[in-house]
Amino acid sequence: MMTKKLKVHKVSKRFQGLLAIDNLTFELETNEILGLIGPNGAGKTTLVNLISGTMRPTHGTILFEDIPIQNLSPYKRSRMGIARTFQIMNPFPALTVLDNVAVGALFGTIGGCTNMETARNEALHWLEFVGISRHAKRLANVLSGPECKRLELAKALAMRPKLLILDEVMAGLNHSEIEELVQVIKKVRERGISIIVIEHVMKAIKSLCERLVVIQHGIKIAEGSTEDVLASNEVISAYLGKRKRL
Amino acid sequence: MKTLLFLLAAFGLATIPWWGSASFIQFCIDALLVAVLAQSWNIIGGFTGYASFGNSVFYGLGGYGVAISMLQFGLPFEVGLCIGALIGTSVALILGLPILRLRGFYFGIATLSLTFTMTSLVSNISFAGGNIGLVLPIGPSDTLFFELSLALLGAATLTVWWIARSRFGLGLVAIRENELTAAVMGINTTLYKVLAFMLSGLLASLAGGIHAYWITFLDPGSAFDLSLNVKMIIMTVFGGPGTVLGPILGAFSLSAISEMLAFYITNLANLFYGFVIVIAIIFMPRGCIDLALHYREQGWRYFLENIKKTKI
Amino acid sequence: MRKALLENLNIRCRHGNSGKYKMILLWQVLVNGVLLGGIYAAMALGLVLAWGVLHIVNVAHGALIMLGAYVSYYLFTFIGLDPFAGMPLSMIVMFGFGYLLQLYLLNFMIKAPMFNTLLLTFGLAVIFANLAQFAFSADFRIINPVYAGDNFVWLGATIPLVRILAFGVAMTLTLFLWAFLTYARYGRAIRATAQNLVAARLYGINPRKIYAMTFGIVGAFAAASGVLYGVVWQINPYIGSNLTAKSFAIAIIGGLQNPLYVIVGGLFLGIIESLSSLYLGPTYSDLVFFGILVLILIVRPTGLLGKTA
Repeated sequence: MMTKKLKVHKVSKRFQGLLAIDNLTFELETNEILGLIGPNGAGKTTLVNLISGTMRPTHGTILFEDIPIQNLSPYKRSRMGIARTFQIMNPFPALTVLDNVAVGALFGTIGGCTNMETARNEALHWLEFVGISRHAKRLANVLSGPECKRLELAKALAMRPKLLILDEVMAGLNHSEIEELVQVIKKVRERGISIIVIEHVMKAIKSLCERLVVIQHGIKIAEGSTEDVLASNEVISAYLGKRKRL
Repeated sequence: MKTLLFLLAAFGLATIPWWGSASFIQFCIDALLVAVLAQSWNIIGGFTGYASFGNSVFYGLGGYGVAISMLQFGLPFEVGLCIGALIGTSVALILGLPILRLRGFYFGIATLSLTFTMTSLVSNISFAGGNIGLVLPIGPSDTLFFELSLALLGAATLTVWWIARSRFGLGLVAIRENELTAAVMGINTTLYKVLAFMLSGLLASLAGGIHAYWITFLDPGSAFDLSLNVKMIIMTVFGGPGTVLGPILGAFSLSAISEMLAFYITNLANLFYGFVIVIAIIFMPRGCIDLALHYREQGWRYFLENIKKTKI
Repeated sequence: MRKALLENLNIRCRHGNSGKYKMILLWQVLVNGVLLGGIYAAMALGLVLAWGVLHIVNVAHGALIMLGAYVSYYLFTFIGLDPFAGMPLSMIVMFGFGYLLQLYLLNFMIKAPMFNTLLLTFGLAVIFANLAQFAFSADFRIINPVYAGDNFVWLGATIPLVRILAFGVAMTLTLFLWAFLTYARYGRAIRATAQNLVAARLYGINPRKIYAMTFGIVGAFAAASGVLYGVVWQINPYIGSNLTAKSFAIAIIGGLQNPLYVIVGGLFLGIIESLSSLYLGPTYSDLVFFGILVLILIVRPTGLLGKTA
């Protein structure tokens, strides 16, 4: 019986001189929310790129539902059920908000949807789910920062993924916006989707994630339940530096 | 309602050979064929965002397909046209696969180089007439060529219209807007780009085949004419890239004005194209169609907005 | 040049297809290629500057070279100023032209997508060529200083004086531009603005002026290569497009990182042109060169020497 949605096994990524990810191994259970944290530059976004297919690993294997995917092109992986959001806003500027999401519904789903109208109805449903349906007919480039984040989420959800990777979706949001988005993500989990959350906002991490993986300089330095990891010394010194005895 | 207007317009156009003068009909045939070329560029450049400088390669290949089939193999025109189209589309497939991996400007340079390469290559092949060219047999009347070109333009426009509202077209636009995201969202970008390129090549080679038979002469310089390549780009950009009617609007209006100018001084026509593109690209970079859509609410501010976005 | 080649061929015919004369011919062709290549490299300099620093795809570059050639021609014809001696004057004229062009036209398109600036400069190229035709007529012009026919022989190859002078000037210009950009304060300001506009502004650099100065330099270098073109080949209003294509090819092959790499690209083009002209005939040189360019783009899109953009 398959319980592990994703297995990242001894993955490394080298960019000419720089070893961005070094021998990283972790697993994601089905329908769990896993947090991926670490200081800036640790390699988190690189890892997301490796899983979603924008980059290929130098060494190691990535198994999705026990199928090796490290050599598949991005579009194939998305059709298998992997979706991600982008840290830097990446909408299609000349398309409407609705069509932005419709692209996900048309192309990213397992099985695919070929009817434009069905796709657009789906897209509207997802816009309502994330709460920006009033902007449906506007061009994507007029959205504000937080609204753009929600659009990213809607685009990913429209792909009906089995694995959703959220890359710093909380950045730049105020307290109430964070609260709202946390509730939305919990609703997503209720639909059976497995989620990897990359975040700096600890409040969101604590509300959402049961388990955490901590990365620094491309190496996993901790893994375990949220409370344990956040209390561990290595993690604290990774973020804050070595504790000085005064 | 709109469809009725279009059908009326098309019907009206179709009757031109019966009331127009001989030279007007010839001007129209040229304009119709260049509009087909503009639509072909629209597919790969306007929708997919890959600005090809090599559509004249397919145009020329279509022409040579017809010429060689008719002269060396004695085949009828229709077969020659199909052969030309087949050659054009296959070349688009074979060359498209490696070249469409290049982004933006490098794609442009690669397609431009193809134009030079093809010109040089064909001028060294003797059964293609070499540098001297080929003379085709005299074809049917201008009326027939007119209707044929009009039909081709109709087919091309219908294709673009279908693309604009289909899943395929949305995929192309997504590729244009953000290729990386498009790939991650499930679009098979390689397949789509190559298909767009092949469609583009098909239309261009059909236009080239008809044109070659019509003027009954073909040589490497005129077949792979670079200035034609640029004209189709200017017309599409002026009319509205990524729209259905933009290329037709651009092609007809610019052809008409340049024809009138050429009446006075030959060089004035070329100078005119130069000024058109300079002014259009600064003040209305999304073409006439976009201007028409936004002018009512924005008026003169439309132009100022465009400059503000790009100036320093 | 042709005379020298024919002389060589004559020798070959008289002594049969002997290996030694084949070698002499090959050597002559290589020397020709290198000399040509140096001139091509100088032409590509301005383009690399505009593209690498200003991110402007300057399709009008060949037209600027053409205008520079005409300036030199008219200086030569009306006041008898030797083209090499008059080069600084041509450069100053075209510097001003480039400066104004950037300040009052191109600066309006700096933030536009590259394709749009490409179309803009293309339109300018068409305008310049056609206006030049109105002003100067389409006749071919030659700049013929007194020493135009002088040759000297070096290691068995015949070298026309103007070509070696042109080559020397071309190399000097390239080295000068590289040194300027790398060491001179203003040159580094230009590169800084290219890399980070916001930061440059914070340091008090006025980007409009810097861009204008940069394009002025582009104009000046176009003028210089126009002069070199004029003493080696014939001038007419339509030489621009061919030169633009070649300059782009050189920029791509050599890479945009360093003006010195332009030399590699230029030599590559010069030698290929010469060799294919000799062994395959002149109708094939376009095919060979652009065919190779397409292959390089496909196999190694970053150019032969590293990153291009």
